[in-house]
Amino acid sequence: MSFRPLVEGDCGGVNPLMQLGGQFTRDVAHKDEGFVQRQFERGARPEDQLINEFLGQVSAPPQSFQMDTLLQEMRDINIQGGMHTQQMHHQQADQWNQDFQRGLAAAVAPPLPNKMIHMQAQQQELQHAQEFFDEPLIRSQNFHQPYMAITAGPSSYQQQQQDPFFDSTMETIITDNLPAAPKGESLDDWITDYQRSAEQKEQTAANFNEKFWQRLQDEWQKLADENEHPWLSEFNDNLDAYKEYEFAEENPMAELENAFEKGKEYLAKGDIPSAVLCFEVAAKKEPERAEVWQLLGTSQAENEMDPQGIAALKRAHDLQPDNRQVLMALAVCYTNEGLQNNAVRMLCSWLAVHPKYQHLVQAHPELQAEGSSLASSLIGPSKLRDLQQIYLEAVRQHPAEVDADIQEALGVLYNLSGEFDKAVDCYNSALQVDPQNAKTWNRLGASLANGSRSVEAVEAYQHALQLQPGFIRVRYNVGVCCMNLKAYKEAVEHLLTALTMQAHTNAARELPAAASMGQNQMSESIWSTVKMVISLMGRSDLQGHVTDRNLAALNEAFND
Amino acid sequence: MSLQSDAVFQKIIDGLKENEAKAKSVNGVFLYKITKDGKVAKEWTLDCKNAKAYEGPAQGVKVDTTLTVADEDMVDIALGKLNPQAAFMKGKLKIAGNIMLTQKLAPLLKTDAKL
Repeated sequence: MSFRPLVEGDCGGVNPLMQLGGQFTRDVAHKDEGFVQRQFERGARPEDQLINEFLGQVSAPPQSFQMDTLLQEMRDINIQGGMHTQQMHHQQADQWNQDFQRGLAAAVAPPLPNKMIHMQAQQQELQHAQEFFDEPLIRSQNFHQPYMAITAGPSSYQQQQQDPFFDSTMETIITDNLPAAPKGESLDDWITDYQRSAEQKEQTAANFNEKFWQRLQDEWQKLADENEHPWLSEFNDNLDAYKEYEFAEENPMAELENAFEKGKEYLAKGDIPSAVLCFEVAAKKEPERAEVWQLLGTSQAENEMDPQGIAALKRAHDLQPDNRQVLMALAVCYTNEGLQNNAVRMLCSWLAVHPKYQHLVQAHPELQAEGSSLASSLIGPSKLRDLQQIYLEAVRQHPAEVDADIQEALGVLYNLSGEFDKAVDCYNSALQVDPQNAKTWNRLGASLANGSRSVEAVEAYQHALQLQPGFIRVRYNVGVCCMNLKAYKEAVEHLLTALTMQAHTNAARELPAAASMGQNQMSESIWSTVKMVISLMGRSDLQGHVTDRNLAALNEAFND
Repeated sequence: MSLQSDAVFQKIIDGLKENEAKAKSVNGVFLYKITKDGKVAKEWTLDCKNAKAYEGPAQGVKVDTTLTVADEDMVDIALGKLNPQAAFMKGKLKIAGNIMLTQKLAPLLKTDAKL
């Protein structure tokens, strides 16, 4: 340790000033970094004062009594005691070293034994002072006078005289330092040395902290890279999970002619659940028609049924791989489901099939996503950043006009990387182009909410709902927002509204046999969120209704 | 004893059942020790390899990561009010074992707004 030479005496024994300083060092080393400076300053000032005042008083005390022998005796006593504390100090330092290396948590332990040692050493000094004063009366009387002379002089001493403990330690310091006048200057050096070593200490501690977190970071990075390979097999599993679209078992629109057109009408009216039913019928009848699957997919997404949406959109994608709207919709759904790599792949393809920006992708062949699915599973987090850069290039290509689609895609990419504020900027730009787009308002709201700006998110959602009151997804998002703001009652009300809209579609109302059909048209995600809110509210009496999916009972419970 | 974080874990159980593939992509077994007033009040096991979660210690599987967190902080993490990484730095969340896996766990815990 760097302060070892400071603690060991240069010549002769270890004087109490050194010991005292050593104790201060020990204290500082064990405590939190935040305390280092303060402790040290507190320690330095009285010592500085002591030294300065002492140096000013060196000639004051008359040598009329046998000071030397007394001091020699004192020093002998001190040496024995000093060695003892010095050893303990070294042990403590080693101990502390080990602890610190073992972990920051362990460093909590040392301060306790340390304090005890500190007390012990101070006790010893008190003892020495006491012993000194217990010497035959004559000597002590004689000593007192010059001592008083010294202390009477400087006023600061008088203030400190209030503290008896400080007095006694001061006495020993002064007495010992009398013959040690030439050492005065080395004490000054010692103090600057000490300051420097304390700073070094802080530095090493800070470095250690940094290295620790750096190592942690690197470990994470390594694991992240390693984990991509097992993901290979998981990727294929994921692919299968969304393969098949699950049609409604009893579809009231089943006999409908021109289901597709009817579906589009419902969409125009803003009735998403009914539109979904119509599109299902149309898809069953004409499974090779890409646009049917496309509208079914996008509607299911708006209906807060992403898994179904993905299944439908994949059918559309298989039929029309160049369809940019399908690609974009898929990217959004994958993002919502947490399937980062798939989303990145979709957005890459989006750019690759766009006539205006194709060349950008061609300039970066490593990003080409066409080819086997195996290749795509190896896209890592760096690919996300690269893709973001390419999209930014696309933006820079036409700085005067805003391409809303590019902004939307960038927004999705920033959501993936967790840079929600940037995503918010993108969606705001997109809204400048088309302020009447409810989907964009929803995405703005979701980016705000995920970035913990819940209050602003609610505003954006309101815009979306004004434009499209039947937008189930937005109502779900509002419910989630209220829950995050701990407004549980409002949250439940919004969520129940969404569920009711799904269960009692206009289409279903036109037909009598529809009462029981509503069950599988309701979102699982909405139900599980309802469950969570009810639990957080503490209304366990209603949990039964939630498990039974008894919407009617729940509506009743919250309508009064 | 019922804790606030019970709601969070119920949601996780539902989420795992609903989307088994997503659960398996996390591919880890997590043991949560929820503390109340400084003492461990409840344990939950999240077995993402088998897509299930239950109260109590892990049964039949080896735990990859053990997380110790207070009840209120668990709820805050789930509501997005407390960032798990920030919680870890502040010492509110203690993690032992495979830390990397917990990053994958985050989407399961938090209710995200949907784009």
